[in-house]
Amino acid sequence: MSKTILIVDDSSSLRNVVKIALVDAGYDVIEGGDGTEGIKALDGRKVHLIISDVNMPNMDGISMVKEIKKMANYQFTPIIMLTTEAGDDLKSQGKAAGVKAWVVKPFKPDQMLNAVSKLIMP
Amino acid sequence: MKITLGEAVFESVSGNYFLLAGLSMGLTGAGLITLQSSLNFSAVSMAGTLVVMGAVVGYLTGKYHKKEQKRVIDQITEEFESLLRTSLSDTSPKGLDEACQKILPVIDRNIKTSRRLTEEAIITLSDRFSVLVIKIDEAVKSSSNDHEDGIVEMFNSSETQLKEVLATYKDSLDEKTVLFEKMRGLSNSIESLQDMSASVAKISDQTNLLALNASIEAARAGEYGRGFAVVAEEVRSLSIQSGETGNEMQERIIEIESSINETLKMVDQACVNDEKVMSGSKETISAVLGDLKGLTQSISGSAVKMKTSSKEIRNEISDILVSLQFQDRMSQILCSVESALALTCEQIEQSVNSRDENGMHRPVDVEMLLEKLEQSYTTTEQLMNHDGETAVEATEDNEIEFF
Repeated sequence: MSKTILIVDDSSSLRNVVKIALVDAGYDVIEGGDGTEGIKALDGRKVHLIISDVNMPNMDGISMVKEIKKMANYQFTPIIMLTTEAGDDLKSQGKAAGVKAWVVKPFKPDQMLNAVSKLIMP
Repeated sequence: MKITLGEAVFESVSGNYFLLAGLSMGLTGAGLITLQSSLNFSAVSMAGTLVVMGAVVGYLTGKYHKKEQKRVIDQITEEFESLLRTSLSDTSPKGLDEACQKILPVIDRNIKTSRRLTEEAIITLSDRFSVLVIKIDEAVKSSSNDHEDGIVEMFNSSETQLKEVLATYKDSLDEKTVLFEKMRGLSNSIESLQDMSASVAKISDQTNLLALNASIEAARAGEYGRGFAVVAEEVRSLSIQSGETGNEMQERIIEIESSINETLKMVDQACVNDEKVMSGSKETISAVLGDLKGLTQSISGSAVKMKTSSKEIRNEISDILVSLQFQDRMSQILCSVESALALTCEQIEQSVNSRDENGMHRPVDVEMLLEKLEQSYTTTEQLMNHDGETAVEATEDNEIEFF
């Protein structure tokens, strides 16, 4: 059974890029347009990894990570931030919130798949 | 208490200058009178009076002059401050604040529109490219599953069926050959029958000759041989009949032999023809199968090429999608530019609409603006641009940082 990855980004074009790379590699993908939609998309189902942007409307990525880490079903789900933000402050905030990896856009699909395979839950 | 520039000048210049001058003049007059009158009482009194008058005149003149001078200095001060204000406000080109107030919002709106248009166009492009990728994937999958295997399977099935037809035809030909051999054996039997009929004819001739001799001997025996002569005649008659039957048999055998030989010839010819047909069919089937195989391989090759090309196109589109990531970064940079413009407009407006206690416009806090701008940056390029370096385009070689 293929593993499920949640992509959260307010840019649908970016979601498409990540989605195509992941689907090619055999993963199932679910999507959300911001932090609120991301949490809603979880919907109690088994999610093996989450990839999220930082700057988004309604609920930003770091806030979403904090909320997800409070949820019993997803507190151990690995999270990768995919963002244009390269500042150390935000990285520290992400790390403190429980983020496992930080990818600065633009990214290479191969690099992302490599990180996904390293972090994804069995 | 605030001291204006004019007052400061006044204080430094005036003081008790006029009082001292009046006093000096009084003293000088008193001195001259005293020297000329050899210090008598009236001269001393006059001198004292002159001193007092000099002091009074000096004081009064000084006071009047001080008042007049203050008025002039106030006027100069006012003019100087006005000049100073004008000169300060002239450090920037005239109309710059108004230009900023009116033009910056227009630029802001245009940037917003450009950002929205680019964003919409890129999202549409990206969606369409994604659909293309999905469709190509489906086509490649479908072609590799059905088409290619289907053609190879059909070719193999056709080849097997045609070979079965050839095998059946060959079996039939083999049976014909067996029949032919049996008929050839029948022909040999006919030769034996001919020999047998020749023997019958020979026996008939000999029997006839024997019956003839018996008749002669019966005649020589006279009355005693009469009965024997009848028997000899009957035997002779039978030998003649058997001879005729033998001849008929021979004729029939010749007819049968002729028919069999003709049949043999026809069967032989049919076998030769069948073998030719068989051989021809084999060659034709082989050629057709060869052509079909070539076609199959060609189609299969084309399918492989199409699959490869489709995969290449798909990968190209995926790469294009990856390149479209620029939109996200560009959008963030433009958002930051929009915020910067809005904040700058706000600051200029505040500066235009407010004045300090000296009546001067409050200066725009450029440092604060720059600081807020820097805080709004999300990309490395913005930071580089802020620091005055020319930002190079970000590459896709950003390392992934694991925590």
